[in-house]
Amino acid sequence: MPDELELAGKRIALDKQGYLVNLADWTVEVAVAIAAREQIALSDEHWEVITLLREFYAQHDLSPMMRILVKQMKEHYGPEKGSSLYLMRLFPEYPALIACKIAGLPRPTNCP
Amino acid sequence: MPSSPQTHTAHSYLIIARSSPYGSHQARAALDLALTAAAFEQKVSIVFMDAGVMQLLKGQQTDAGEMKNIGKIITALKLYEVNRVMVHQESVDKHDLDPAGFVEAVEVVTSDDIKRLIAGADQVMVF
Amino acid sequence: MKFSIVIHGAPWSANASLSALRFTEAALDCGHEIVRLFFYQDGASNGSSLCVPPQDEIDIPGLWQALIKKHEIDAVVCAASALKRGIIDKAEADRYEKNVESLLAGFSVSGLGQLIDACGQSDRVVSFVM
Repeated sequence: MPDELELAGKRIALDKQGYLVNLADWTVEVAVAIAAREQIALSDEHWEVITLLREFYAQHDLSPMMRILVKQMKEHYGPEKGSSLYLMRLFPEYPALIACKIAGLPRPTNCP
Repeated sequence: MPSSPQTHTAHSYLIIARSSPYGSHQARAALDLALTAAAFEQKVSIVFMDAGVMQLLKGQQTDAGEMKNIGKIITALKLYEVNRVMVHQESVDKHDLDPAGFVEAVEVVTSDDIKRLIAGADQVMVF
Repeated sequence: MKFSIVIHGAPWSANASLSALRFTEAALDCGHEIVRLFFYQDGASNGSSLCVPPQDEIDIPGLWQALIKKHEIDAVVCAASALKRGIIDKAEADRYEKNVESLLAGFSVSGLGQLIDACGQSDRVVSFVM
């Protein structure tokens, strides 16, 4: 079933897997609410990843593949944060998918 | 990703992008393939030629959401470690373009260079 | 020789699909091996189970399906291309809340990585674009 978030009286449509239907709906509050549905409380470390993803998307019109995200993390935030293990700890199970979901990026189609 | 390639040795790919950026989806398909091959640690080169040189132009305006911005995607090639990003000299001249007006600096190559690149690549894919 | 075949064209729109089909048949007849068929971009439509050509025209997706079945060929439809064109398997129909599945039996849906993988395993990769 399609889903939705309710934030300050505003309804925000989500698809069955919890991705935003309209990417333009994304706000910081929406990110917090989507993360909460994934049982994630957003910390500064989470926000570093989310910001990086959103900047990459704005600049290149692409969601980075996992390996590239790791590389970008390393470049921006240092080697200890540039590892898939680190991302796995922040966004358990499917870091690239879950981080994209919270960052309000399109659902990746290449990795079902 | 459930299925990752089991390629043991990196192959070299030459992707020849000959289509204009927005006349078809060819430009996008070429870039997707280049990025994917590079993400899987293959040795990838891409050369823009014929109408494909227009993919490199700065200032492409795509209304939000209507089409992916080819120029923006091109700026990701180096980040994905695509080995060589090149443009065909004769095509640049024919379209009367100035490489200074490209989204980023690219290597300029001649027809003879491209012949050698084709001969040396494991895979050549034309879009 | 080990071949992989990349099909860029939709059935009935471009000749790419039928040419690729005939090439694949000929390669198999000559004793070559087909590592993988990869249906990219408009080529994804060759994996549709919903095509209904008139009786006096050939059923291109049906011919692909028969060939794939007969020779047990690995036939992959690019996931990103397929989703956009309405070619979805059961799992995706469920995931994306569609009430119909439209992928021909014998084909599978996967990422572009499968094309890179095929290139690594093949002596020749032949693309049919036009």
